[in-house]
Amino acid sequence: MSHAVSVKTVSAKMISAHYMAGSIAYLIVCVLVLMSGNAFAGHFFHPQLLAMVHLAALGWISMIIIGTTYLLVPVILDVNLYSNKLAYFSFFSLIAGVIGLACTFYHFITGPLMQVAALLLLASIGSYCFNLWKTTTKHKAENIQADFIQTALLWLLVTAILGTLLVFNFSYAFLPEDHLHYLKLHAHIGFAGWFLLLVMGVLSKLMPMFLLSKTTNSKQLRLCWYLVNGAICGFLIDMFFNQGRLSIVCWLLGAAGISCFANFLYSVWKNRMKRKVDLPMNTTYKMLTLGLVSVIIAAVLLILNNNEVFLQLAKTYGVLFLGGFLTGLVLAQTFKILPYIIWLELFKDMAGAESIPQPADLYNKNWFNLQFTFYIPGLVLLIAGIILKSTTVISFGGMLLLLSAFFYTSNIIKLIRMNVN
Amino acid sequence: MEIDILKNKPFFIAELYENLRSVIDPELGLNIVDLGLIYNIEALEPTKEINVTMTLSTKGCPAGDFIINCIWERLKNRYSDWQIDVQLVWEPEWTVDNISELGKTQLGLN
Repeated sequence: MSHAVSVKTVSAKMISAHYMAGSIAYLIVCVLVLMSGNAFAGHFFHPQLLAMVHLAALGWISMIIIGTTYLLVPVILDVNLYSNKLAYFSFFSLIAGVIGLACTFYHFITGPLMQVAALLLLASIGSYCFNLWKTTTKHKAENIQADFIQTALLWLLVTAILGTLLVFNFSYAFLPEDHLHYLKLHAHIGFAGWFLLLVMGVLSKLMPMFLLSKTTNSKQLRLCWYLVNGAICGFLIDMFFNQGRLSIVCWLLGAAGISCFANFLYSVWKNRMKRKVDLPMNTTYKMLTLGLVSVIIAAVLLILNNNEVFLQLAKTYGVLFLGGFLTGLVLAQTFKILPYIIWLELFKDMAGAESIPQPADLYNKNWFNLQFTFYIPGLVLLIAGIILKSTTVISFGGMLLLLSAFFYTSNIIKLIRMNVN
Repeated sequence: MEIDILKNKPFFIAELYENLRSVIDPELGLNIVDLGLIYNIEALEPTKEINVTMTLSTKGCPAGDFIINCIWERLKNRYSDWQIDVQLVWEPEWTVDNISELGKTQLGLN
């Protein structure tokens, strides 16, 4: 008897490879934080900070997100992935591009090497966006998750194009405004357009599914989609034609959208049937609060002028969003997704077997707990070090984050080895 | 109001449901009967056919094939002289309301 109800996508090994590459990038970021504590003391436009931010945003968080979407998007929309070959191309060019960009930023080599790395990244992101766009448009019925994912892809592409232009602007200085003006745009379209919309789209499906919740209020999600996209479009127009004078209006729109989503997630939690919530889901909800703190800091930044406090707070905002909210989500959700992928590979042909472990039995829960035991104080110390301008405190934070990354990577290796053996 | 899903079912059908309680949804950790994935089971004595009508919690579920094969294997092992057919349907769509009272208790709701 043969059934084929599952959708077709890249192999489990390919998705696992994204997780492995991502965890190595996370380890390297933590080593860099430990080694380059003094980089946090100055302006956020610091070569070593730029290297760390790009390694974290692309090599770590986006790498894991991209790998995960190859599984989740076809499942959520019940369609096959458009092209496996494009996924392979995107993966290898992303690795090459991230290594090139991080190294050239770290040593601030702004010539052809950085330009080639930027073009490689653009090719990688372009092929990924095309692949996922063709996949999502196979789904014909109206679907709010598809809308979130498609707009996130568009904003990712805009972020990558703007980033590439900024790299070329180092050598040819052709952009009419100063570099920091476009850097602000590049960072925020990436944060809100790519990361936030994708997280919203995926979580709006996963949370009710994992928690068995009755809440699937698509009207609230639709309003959230309009508000966040309105905020990003408004910000783009305001920055290009109005010198960013109406940023507070864009923030208000964005904050209203995020509030809608927070309300949706609260409702999912309140109406869940699964009262015994597992570790990764419990941690995911706690990590979401870090996102809300980042939004509040963003509002404070809008009021402050470009003074010393502004600089410290701007770095805190970036660290909290990338290193807190997004890293926390990835650290937790990895253990909902990857064990399930490995489990399917190991046991898909053992349907008749009497005793089969559950996906949650495949990873080491002590290591998972240790990962967060070191991560939370590590993050707190890193932020405290930035605010206090103390390299020692930053280094201590970096050390704890490195220990957290070590336990995370150990669990990833443990899971992947099961599939290889 | 408590609903006993085995109430008013012939003994053999009840036995079939009971057998399928050993099939666990790998993601949700709950058996497929109490999860409400099994819509109907009929046993045709003259032709020795067991027909299971079921759904999945999500279309395109990666574990869909595994669950269907599990159902088939469990029933075939127990009733080897019967023909087993598992029919997958999407209507009516599965919702959390399909979860039985026993399932809710296992989830920690009651």
